[in-house]
Amino acid sequence: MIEIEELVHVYSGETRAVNGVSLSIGAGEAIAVVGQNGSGKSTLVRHLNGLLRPTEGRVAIDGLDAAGRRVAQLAGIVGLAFQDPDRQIFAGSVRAEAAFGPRNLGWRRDAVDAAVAEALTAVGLAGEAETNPYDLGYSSRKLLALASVLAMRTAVVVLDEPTTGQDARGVARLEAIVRSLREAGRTVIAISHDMRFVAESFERVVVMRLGRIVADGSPAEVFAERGWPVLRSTNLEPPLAAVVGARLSLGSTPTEASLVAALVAGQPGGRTGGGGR
Amino acid sequence: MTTEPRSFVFDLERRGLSPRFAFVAAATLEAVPAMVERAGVIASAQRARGLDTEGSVSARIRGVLPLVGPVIVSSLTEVEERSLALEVRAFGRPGRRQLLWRIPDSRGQLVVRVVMLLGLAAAIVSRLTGTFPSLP
Amino acid sequence: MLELRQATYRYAGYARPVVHEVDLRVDDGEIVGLVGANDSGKSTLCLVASGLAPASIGGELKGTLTLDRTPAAGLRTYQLAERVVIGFQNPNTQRSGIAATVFEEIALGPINLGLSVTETVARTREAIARLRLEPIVQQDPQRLSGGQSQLVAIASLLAMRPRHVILDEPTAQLDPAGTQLVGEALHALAAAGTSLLVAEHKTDLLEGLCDRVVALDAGRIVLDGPAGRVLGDPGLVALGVEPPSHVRLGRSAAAAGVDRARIDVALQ
Repeated sequence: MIEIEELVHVYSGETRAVNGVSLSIGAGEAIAVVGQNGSGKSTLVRHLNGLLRPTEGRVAIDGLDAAGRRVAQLAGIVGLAFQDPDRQIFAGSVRAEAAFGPRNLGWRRDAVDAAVAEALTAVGLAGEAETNPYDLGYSSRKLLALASVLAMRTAVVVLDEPTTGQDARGVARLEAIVRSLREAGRTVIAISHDMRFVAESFERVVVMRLGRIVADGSPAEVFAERGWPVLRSTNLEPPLAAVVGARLSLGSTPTEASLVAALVAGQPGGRTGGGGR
Repeated sequence: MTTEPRSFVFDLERRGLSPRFAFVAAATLEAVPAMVERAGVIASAQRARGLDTEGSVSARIRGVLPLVGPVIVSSLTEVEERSLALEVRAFGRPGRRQLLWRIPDSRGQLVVRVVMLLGLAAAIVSRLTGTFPSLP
Repeated sequence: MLELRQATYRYAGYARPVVHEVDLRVDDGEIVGLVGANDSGKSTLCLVASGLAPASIGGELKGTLTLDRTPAAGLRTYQLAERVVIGFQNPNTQRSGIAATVFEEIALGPINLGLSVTETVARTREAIARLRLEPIVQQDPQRLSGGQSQLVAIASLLAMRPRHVILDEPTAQLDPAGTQLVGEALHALAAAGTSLLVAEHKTDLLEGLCDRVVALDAGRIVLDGPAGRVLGDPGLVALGVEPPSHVRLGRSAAAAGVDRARIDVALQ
């Protein structure tokens, strides 16, 4: 679905924010991109919808080179939900805001309405359709920004720090949204600092440091004890479930469920663990 | 021999400009780059939702509100928090401040300043007395 | 010591109070955590504890705020600034916009307090060291990442050497390394006698950081006690607060019938 080949991105002639990344993402995969601030995560994903163009290397979306397509065209295939909702919300109602994306894609009225209704339900804002977004709290506005991207029904959905600033209910809703996107066969890519969210919701974890990929595998592989030095090199800590599993010699148990399963089985193992279903 | 604009404003404060004035002047100078950056982020987010900024003229006209609206609204909603944050750091406290900045004031600059002031004084005097120096 | 007694606060122009009859006390050297769902009134409570509500934003406060036995009522905002500071989530709004370098940005608070150059420089250097910002002191504050900006914002507050520090989700934009740095700096502050109130979602952080934790629901305090006890309270989940990781894991394991003794050791 997405092929990134030897990507290099240099900002203003100096910083090599992405320094030689090659990555292949299949349709329907759920991938988390992690790494300390400045590791190149945001820069990398902005190449997927053409907001940034490679300094060197190539990005292909659905078989075609992204270089030849405008952002407005790529936006119909790759949806990118930004961190700060207040840097995009402009409409007077939740409904109108969520409709912005599908309308830009040129859909007919009934298709737009259906997509908006579905997206607002998914984020729990269906009851606030006529509310002014600024009468909602910050985390609701963040969910609205996400809904406006979900409504575009793109094959690929990219989430930039979706759980930041969310309380427990907000995080639970995010997890449910990722689950339903996966069930619908869409490709999900998320940048996150929350290792628990990453381990529980994604089947593949890509770890970045200084513009390069330093680890790429399932949560069970990346969060296994032998992978901890790599995580720590980019200022990350494994989720607690993985730490407990390692201390009790239960093998790699990146998620709560895998840890509990290993404990119940009463023996070392913990084979799977990647990405809840 | 250019001076960073913000430092220039603080130099004025050292010479007697009120701190409040100095702040407004410096903040105004800063406002433009900050607004440009904000507009850039907003444009990226809207383009990611399919707003076409590279296409036809009519498409770009349709893009005005989604680009301008959030710039204004987010700037305004930030104003309250911004002003709270300033109060927390005691901006607006009465009394003089001991500033850190000192623009390197070389002998050369001092000489130029004195000469310019003398030249200005001479020009004013000659204007008032009606005599004009003539060049050979 | 910072103390709120029966604090009920209503924003200007709104009919109903957001915070109700709050009794909250933070002793010198104590770190108190504040948890609650996003609409629980945490941010408002932080503003009230800082005195800015109502001194800056108006509205109506019933009850009292006392800072080291001085009533806050009637203090001007710059007088409050000499005693108590509050940091917010968004680092962009806390940047003055008038400093050319990080050093100057951090120095602005002490300068505004009318301190001598020597004192200002000393306090600025101290704050920089606390948050390990030496590598970026010469950088333009507008050109920092979100995480760096937040650390600079916090340092800018610490440089004022306030007796009371209130932070509303200070680590929201930070990666784990930044979160840890902030935690260490706050510990050091408390050890020096500052009283701290920290509102956060990250209960793992609060557990390591706080002496006490207070839980807010619909503007009222519903839990107030030692950090371990409150964060382990079964009622926390219903309040929309994620318990610390080890509490979650322990409960899941127990629910599956696993003997707690087996994992309690590993959960240390």
